[in-house]
Amino acid sequence: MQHTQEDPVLTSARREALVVLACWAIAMAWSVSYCYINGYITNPSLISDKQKVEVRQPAQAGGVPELWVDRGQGPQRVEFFLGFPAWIFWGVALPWWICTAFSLFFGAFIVRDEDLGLDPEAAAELEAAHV
Amino acid sequence: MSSTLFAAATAVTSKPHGGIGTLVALAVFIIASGWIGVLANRAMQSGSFMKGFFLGNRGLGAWALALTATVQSGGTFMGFPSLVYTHGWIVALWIGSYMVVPITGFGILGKRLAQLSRRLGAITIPDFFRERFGSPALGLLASICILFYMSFMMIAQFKAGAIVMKLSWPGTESLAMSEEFSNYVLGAKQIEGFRAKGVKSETLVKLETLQDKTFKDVSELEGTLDQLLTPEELKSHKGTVLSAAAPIDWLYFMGLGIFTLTVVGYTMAGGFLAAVWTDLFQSIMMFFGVILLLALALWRVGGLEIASVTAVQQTGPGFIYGPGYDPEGVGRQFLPLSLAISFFVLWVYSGLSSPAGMVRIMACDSTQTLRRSIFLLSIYNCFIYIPLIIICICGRTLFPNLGGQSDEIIPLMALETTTSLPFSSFWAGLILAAPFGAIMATVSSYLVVISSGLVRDIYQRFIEPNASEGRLKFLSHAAMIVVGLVAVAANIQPVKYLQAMVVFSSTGTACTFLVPALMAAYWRRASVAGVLAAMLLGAGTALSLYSIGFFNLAPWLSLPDNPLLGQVTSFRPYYLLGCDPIVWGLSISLIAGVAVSLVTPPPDQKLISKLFDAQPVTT
Repeated sequence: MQHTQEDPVLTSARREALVVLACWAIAMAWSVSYCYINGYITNPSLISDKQKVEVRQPAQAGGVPELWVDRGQGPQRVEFFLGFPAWIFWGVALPWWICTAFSLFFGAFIVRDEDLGLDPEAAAELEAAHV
Repeated sequence: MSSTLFAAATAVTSKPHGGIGTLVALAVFIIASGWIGVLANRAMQSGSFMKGFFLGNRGLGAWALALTATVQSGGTFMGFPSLVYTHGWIVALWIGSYMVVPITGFGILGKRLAQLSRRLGAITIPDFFRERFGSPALGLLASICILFYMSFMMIAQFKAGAIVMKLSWPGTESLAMSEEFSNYVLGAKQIEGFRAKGVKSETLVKLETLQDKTFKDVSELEGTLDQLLTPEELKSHKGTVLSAAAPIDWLYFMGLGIFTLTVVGYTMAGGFLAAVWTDLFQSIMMFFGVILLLALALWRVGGLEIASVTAVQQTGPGFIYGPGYDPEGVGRQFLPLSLAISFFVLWVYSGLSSPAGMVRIMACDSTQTLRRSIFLLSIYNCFIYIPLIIICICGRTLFPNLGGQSDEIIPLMALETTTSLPFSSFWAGLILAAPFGAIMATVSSYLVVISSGLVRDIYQRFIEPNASEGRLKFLSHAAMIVVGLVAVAANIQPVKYLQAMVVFSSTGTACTFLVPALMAAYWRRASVAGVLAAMLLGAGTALSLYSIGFFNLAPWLSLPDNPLLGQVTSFRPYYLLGCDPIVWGLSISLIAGVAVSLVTPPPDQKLISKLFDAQPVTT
């Protein structure tokens, strides 16, 4: 049986695709589970109930008023981070920025440059030019 | 628990209107698009007409590829902002998978697709499958699926284009990006017509109380009918009454005409390159528009946290927590856990396997371009989606009562936040040009894909393989004109469910093409029968689940159904076990593709070796 060598573009493309799929799976696992655990109301009847919302005067004068919401376990203060609801910051915004940083790293250091070859039309033109 | 002690920025009491600046911005956009079409026409002159017109001679650089292959849709400025306005912060999770779209879009299939399309001489997606598997039947099936799903997407976009054109007209009363603009009136003639249609006399008596009354939009008329008629009467006659009361909307038709002439004109002139370059142009406009609007919106409301607090105070806990706010208060869950997972699949894999996106990857000039595209798109996405969410949260504070016209939120924010700036109309026009450009670019790229499907994949492949270049050119142009006319005809009575049709089309193309494309790129053992099975069953699953949902067949099939899941629309799929059809379509496509390939004879080893083994250097 004649031994043939795998196309190097296929080898690198498969390796890169697996890295990307792992990144997608990790991002999904983190974002969906973090948001579900920290940012969901499990009782649908509370979703639109304005009575479960309270805005209190800020502790410090001039500060932003405090938002208190009852998600079924009594009133709890909604935490914010950099203006985002904290669960959105940790569950979506921060992972987004991390994924952006990883994408830059991936493009710079993981993707290998390869020769994609010529299509038959371009190859024929090249050959004609050489002749 | 309740309180009324706090209000951030004062809510706007009257809607701002467009000025001459908006119209000027669109006119500039149209002229620039025509100019780009002419430039593209010159640039594609080298090489054959087909490769130049439909693939830009495989010369796409990083900017053109990054900002056009995976991000463009009119929905970015229309449906998505409306969802944020309506359901609140949970939409950040709904769109969250865009955090990985730059690497999934180019990193999973990009390199192999670009390489194989060159090795096979493929110009279109059906070309690719036909040559990869040596099967004309597979090419034909791919063509039919593309024509079917992309026609839905494109026809919906024509309506959007016409309406953006219309709303930019100075003095337009409303800005809604839906068809419900002009006044609705029920005249005596229409009411008499109901009698001829068999409407019962007791219903007619109720309808006569509405005679000659004016309703500013369809939602106002709907609300009145809901109060006036019984549920049975509504079920039987609501559609008839709404359609009879609808006005003849000349501005809409004018918008439709100008939009169609513009987009078909420049796409005919420059083909694939015109579509890509206008796409790039609008992406850059969109970037600056969003950044400007973000700064103005935050400044106007006094900060993001204040905007959130005010918005939650006006709505309810669902605006700041999952599964999202339900404005109807009926217990609708916009994004339960099953749909949160589904949308992390949907956006990633529908972008990756869109025929319009895949063909652009086939057109890229090198792997360096793919790498640079990942760079550019990663940064670009960061500045588009999260800022748009922030803008719409601020928008809820300023415009708390848009109700059924939440599609207006971005144009309203553009007009309202620029009022205090010098040359406010000009700045508002610049921001509003972005959605118009997004829609034009989407339509243009679909025109290219659909006309290439008709001319290259059906006419040249099956009817006249030896057609002259002049004949192909004539037919390509004719196909674009015919497709444009069909889209206009389909929009004379504006299509409903615009955004839902976009999601349906994205889901359908992903379920049809993703698994076959992965099999083609990475699996030596993939057989023609396996790929045919993957394509057919993937497409069939998506179509079946949408049919069950749209025609409400679940009770008839004795299937458990929860109509209170996801977005409010009649064009809804059946969410089997709470998941979007894309999850089932991809799973069944994968199982079918692998199983059928393994039980059918292996493919021709000579062809496989040409595509999977290292080739001798020929240059």
